[in-house]
Amino acid sequence: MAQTIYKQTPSSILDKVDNYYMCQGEQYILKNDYNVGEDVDLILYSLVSKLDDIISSGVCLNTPTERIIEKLNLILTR
Amino acid sequence: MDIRLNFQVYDSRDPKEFIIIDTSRWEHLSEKTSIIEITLPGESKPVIRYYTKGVNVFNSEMLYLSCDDCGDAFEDLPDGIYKITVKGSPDKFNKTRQYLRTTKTRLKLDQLYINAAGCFNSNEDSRKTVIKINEIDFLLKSAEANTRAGNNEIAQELFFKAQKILDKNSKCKTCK
Repeated sequence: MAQTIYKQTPSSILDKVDNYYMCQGEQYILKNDYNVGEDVDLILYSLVSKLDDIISSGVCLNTPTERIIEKLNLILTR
Repeated sequence: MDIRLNFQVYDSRDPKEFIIIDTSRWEHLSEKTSIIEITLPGESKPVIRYYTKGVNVFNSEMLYLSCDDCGDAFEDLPDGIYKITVKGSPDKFNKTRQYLRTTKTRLKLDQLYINAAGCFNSNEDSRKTVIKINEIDFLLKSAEANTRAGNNEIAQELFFKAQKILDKNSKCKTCK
């Protein structure tokens, strides 16, 4: 995957996704190394990750990208 | 217009190639020589090569990783954090990026997916394997995000954890 190619717009949803990945990474380390906090919700991660892939690819059959971004935004701001 | 150096790393998923695409606005520097410095994972000194203002493809030979008795075959390039700097002439025009290469690790993860598909039978073990695959994928994505943000230490830690879980789960116990 072209990991730097689509990750360059500072205010984009993709930066929010990056922040989510980073926060969850920290949560994973805290739980696994220090038994602090909660486990990472890997089901939610799967959903975010797949939406991230769809937005990054720029190709979606029936739903406009803006709608997917809106949905992803809702998940990330919960 | 101002000169603006920039490039993107493109992962073709080929472990033998490392591709960098130039996206700079070179203006009057376009005819001048430019170089690229690539510091490989675990190394302190960069490999220095001439830089093409287009697509740059590097392999083990160009990165001085080939061994003497390897023949013409290229080696797989190592995964880990690469530091890449492109310099124009004069070198006050430059751009640096850190890039976590996960190509080989992701190929191993692909194999784990394939093994899981071959072994999958809805029992507890199969489900555990799929959960582990998801966990590895999550760790890699988090490591990549941390590298982009410059948090190399956390990125390394997450990447090593992913590799450890991957190695532990790479042996399919019941089928091939």
